[in-house]
Amino acid sequence: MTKAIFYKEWIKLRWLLVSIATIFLAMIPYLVLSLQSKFRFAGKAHLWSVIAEKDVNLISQLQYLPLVAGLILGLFQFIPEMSKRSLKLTLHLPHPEKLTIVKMILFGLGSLAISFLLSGSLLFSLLSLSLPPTIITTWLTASLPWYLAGFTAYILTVWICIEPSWKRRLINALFSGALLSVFLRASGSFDYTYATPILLAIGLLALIFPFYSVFRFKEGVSE
Amino acid sequence: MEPIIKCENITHYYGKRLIYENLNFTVAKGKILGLLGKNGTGKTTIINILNGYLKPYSGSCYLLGEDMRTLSPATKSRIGLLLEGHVQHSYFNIVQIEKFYSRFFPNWKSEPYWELMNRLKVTRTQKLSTMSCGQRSQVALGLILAQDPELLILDDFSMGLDPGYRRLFVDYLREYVAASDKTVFLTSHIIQDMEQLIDEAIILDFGKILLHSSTQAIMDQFRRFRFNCPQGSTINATSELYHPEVINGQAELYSFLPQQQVEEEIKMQGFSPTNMREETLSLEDAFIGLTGKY
Repeated sequence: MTKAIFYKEWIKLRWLLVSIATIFLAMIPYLVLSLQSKFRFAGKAHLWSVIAEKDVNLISQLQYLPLVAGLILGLFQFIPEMSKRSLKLTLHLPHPEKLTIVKMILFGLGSLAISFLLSGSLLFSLLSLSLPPTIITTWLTASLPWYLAGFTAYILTVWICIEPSWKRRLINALFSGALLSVFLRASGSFDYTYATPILLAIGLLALIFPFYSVFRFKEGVSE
Repeated sequence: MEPIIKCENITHYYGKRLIYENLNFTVAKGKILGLLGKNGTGKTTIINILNGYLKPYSGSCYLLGEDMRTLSPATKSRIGLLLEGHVQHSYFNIVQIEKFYSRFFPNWKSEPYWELMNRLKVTRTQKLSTMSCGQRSQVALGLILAQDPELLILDDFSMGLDPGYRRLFVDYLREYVAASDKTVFLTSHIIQDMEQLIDEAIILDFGKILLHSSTQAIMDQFRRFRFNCPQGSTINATSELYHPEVINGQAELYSFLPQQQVEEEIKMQGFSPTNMREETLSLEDAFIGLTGKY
């Protein structure tokens, strides 16, 4: 049954997932080419000193990309479920209801994780051709909250989509916006070094929220 | 024998508006029961309560002996559900959707599904979202028949269908139910379709069940009476005389009573009806007779 649930999600989302993966992968050559061009104009020694002394993160253009990916994936996965309330069909499947939702969310999180890991690994490999590992590790560590924001944005979008009342959806959306802004406030590479576990805990805690929306959906809550 | 559906003392409100109060009914195994009611009487609300997608203010329903709020996966596999508007996962094509559902149901039978699909003028790779409402209704019906459930719950199955598809739906459903000992609970806003299909009818009025009876009994016993009465006279509705109307000395009312008793009831209101004619009714006419035109 797990395979069947994943099959359904794959059929629903396959083109979107291919698009997300393509955008992530396409960003990497763009970043690498842009870095090489900076090296050519400023010289490696000068650029390294700027990076080290002024704490410049040259992959900061990626900051909002995981968040947007999580948001779009959540919308594309759960808007069809809420359109004409076809979530009723999903919950009517002879399979424990909570487990069905868990598996749907796991599919979404897994898809995001694969995109993030693939693009992150490729970026690390390509950057290590021209930058020392210390700088790359610092940048990638600094980017962890952005990726956590992507996962959390996905979970919160699921929560908002399944919520049956528009008024409550709006409140949930405002709350989610405020919560996600916390993930993206760091201005320096080391600002969130100690906060990352807290952000991870927030993301994990947010996993409970969609189940509250499912509960309200089952109660028949309306406007 | 334990009924397939049992609802006890269902009371529900939307805000402060009472929908029902202490609604009780049962559906026995092998019956096809139609829920009839005007718009806004709460037909879909009952379906939602039965499926566990709406918690009533008070009361409870049992499907196949289990509380509707906590149906086990095993019981769900014995219940076929058709949502209003023949809603299905529209991103699938007909091959994909069959592949998806077949993994969940132990008694899955592909033959009735493909038999219906072969009648449709759709390609195997055509998404449900690009199909007409009629075609989607056949996909939804085919999936339910392949599931081979003991209980079918169909919410407004005729919604959006042209007469051809409605007839096809009814014919297939009737044939399927006749060949097996299935129980069906359905609603439709086209009562004409119900007449050919249902064994029992529950007629809902605002806040209560007006009548729960076999279709045969309604068709055999419920009559319209037309007669002449003195100009200016009025007839009051009673527990036996439904929705009397007098226009220019021509009166009309409905009743389960035989003609002689209807005449006596009217005489008790102070005048004698003349030229009384008793008319048999279609289920739709009977529904209007019971619930009124307004």
